Amino acid sequence: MLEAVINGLLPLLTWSGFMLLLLGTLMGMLFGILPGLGGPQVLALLIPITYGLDSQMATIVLVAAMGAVPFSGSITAILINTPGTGASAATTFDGFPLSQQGKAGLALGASATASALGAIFGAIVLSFLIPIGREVVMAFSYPEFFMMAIMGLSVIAVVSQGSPWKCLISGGLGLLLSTIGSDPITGAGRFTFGNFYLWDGIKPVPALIGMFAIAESVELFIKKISIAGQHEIQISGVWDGVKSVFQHFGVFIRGSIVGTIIGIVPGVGGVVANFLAYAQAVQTAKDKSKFGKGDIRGVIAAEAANNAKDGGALVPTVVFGIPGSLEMAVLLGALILHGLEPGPDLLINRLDVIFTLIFTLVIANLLVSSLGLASAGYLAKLTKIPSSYIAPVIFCLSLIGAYSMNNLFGDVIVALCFGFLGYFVKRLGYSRIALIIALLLGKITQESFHQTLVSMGVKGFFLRPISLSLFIIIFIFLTLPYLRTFIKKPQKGEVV
Amino acid sequence: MRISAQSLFSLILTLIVVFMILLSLSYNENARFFPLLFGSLTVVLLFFQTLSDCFAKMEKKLSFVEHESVFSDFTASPKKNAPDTDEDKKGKVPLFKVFRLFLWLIILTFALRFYNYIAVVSIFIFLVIAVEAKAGWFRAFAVAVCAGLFIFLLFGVILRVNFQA
Repeated sequence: MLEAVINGLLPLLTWSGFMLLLLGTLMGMLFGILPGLGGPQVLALLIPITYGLDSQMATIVLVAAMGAVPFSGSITAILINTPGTGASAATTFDGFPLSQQGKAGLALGASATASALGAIFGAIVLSFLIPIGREVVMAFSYPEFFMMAIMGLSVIAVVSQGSPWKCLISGGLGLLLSTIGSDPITGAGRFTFGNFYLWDGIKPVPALIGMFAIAESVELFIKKISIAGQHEIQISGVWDGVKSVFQHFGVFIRGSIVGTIIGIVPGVGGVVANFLAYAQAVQTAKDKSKFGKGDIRGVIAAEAANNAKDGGALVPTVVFGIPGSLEMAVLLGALILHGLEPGPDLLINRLDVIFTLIFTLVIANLLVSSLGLASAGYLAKLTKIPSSYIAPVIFCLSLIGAYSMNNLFGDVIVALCFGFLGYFVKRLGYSRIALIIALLLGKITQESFHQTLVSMGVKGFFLRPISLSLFIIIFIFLTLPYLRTFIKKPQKGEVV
Repeated sequence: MRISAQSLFSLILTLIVVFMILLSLSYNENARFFPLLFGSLTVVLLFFQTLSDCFAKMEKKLSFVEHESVFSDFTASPKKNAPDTDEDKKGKVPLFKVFRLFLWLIILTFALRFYNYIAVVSIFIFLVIAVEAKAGWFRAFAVAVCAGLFIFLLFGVILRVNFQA
């Protein structure tokens, strides 16, 4: 274990490792600040750039970018009432009123400190859960992996925002799309229409680029997101903000716990973590009167949760290969591209990569907090760039990026098709996360199912205790919301 | 019958899934197992979704289709604080605008196949910003030149991408 920790830290101490960390952090800051863009988009665009790097260096760039997004999103939330990402929305409640009172420095100092410490909290939880995860995964065989994949999709369908029915449709569609290409058992071609490119199936990276970078940029271009109002930005009192986190340490800890737990649950995401942490800060406070008018505790709770959730979301991603959020789905695709298969392989053979990932997350958060505080006033001005200038550049970067990985024109077409699909999936309330995770998990699902049948028969799914328990959990998860609807009898006078 | 983006989308998805199910029947027993399984489950879900989307009467009967998850309340909240968009003030984005933009992207994709990518992306960015976004010609030119240079440095010099037909 100690060897893995040292090997995980070493790449970050090299000159090239640090430069890649800086590059990832700066890219994450840029995408975090620009409204409408965020973690999934920056990761999707960075994947082609990491193609030539070794797996640890690629992990550094990607995780640094992912870690830099949450705090950057809060800079504009505090200064100009415009959250850079949805996950910083609750920060505006008290962050912007503080800015209006001339206390932007206080809010930014608190936000930077809570973000950095929140990320460290999440990373510590992740470090403690990794050894437990290793033991759990060692007890897994084919039926458990099959059930875990199905359970991941079921949990996402039920707990992610919107209609669970549409989430299930998205998941089913993703699974069906994952069957395109040669059959893993017989090698027979499926849905290839005589096209040689499709024999390998739909490659995850072009699909991710289309689904997130292109689809999001289409929305960004068409909606012409504009920043309301022009605010004078004065930043002072940063140290008071830093100290305020330690003065309200209980608020910080509770926010971090909420963020980590929400992060671990697949499919819930940062928006929920941010709002739940804010809500618990309000509920547990003795004096609630200042919330919404510029209470620093609101900023601390929301930002601690927003950053702690990344450590939590990495738990199901690296242990079971089930992404906890959209960012994690893209990161999972990138890890697979670099030959790192999450689950037993990563936990047993490449533990050093997991520690690189943890150290990068912590250092990137410390770096972005310092850089963000130093340049907040200038960074906020970036939001004045019209989205109609940014989106066409992202279209070009996405399509050329998709091509650059394998020099295959088919990848460009896949990215474009998934961009089209992704836009309508989002617009019409279907679930992009369920679709993309199903696409990523489809191959494992098929292989583990066939391997179970061959080695244990159908009873393999139901006679092993872990597999049976997972099956029961899946059944409860999928049926409970609907059973409650049907069982609930109308009360007297209630309109049905 | 209601014709909307929602109903058309679910109808198209249903047809695609049905087509894939029918196609999978021609594969051998092992190869068709998963497409059939996933396809059948998806088509059942889509059938109810399509009914609910296409017929107002069915929407009430099939209320479970639009049943919201426990965390849905949280998605509504950020909208209150999300940046106002020009289109939000007017209502939903018209579909023809979306299709027109995707037409630009299809043209870009095929132009990339046959011409030099630096020239193609510069012209694309210039035209989209000037014509579609209706920004000034000079600004569009400046953005196109800067972006073209950046893409050349990133993909041409650093990553050495060989974008040849």
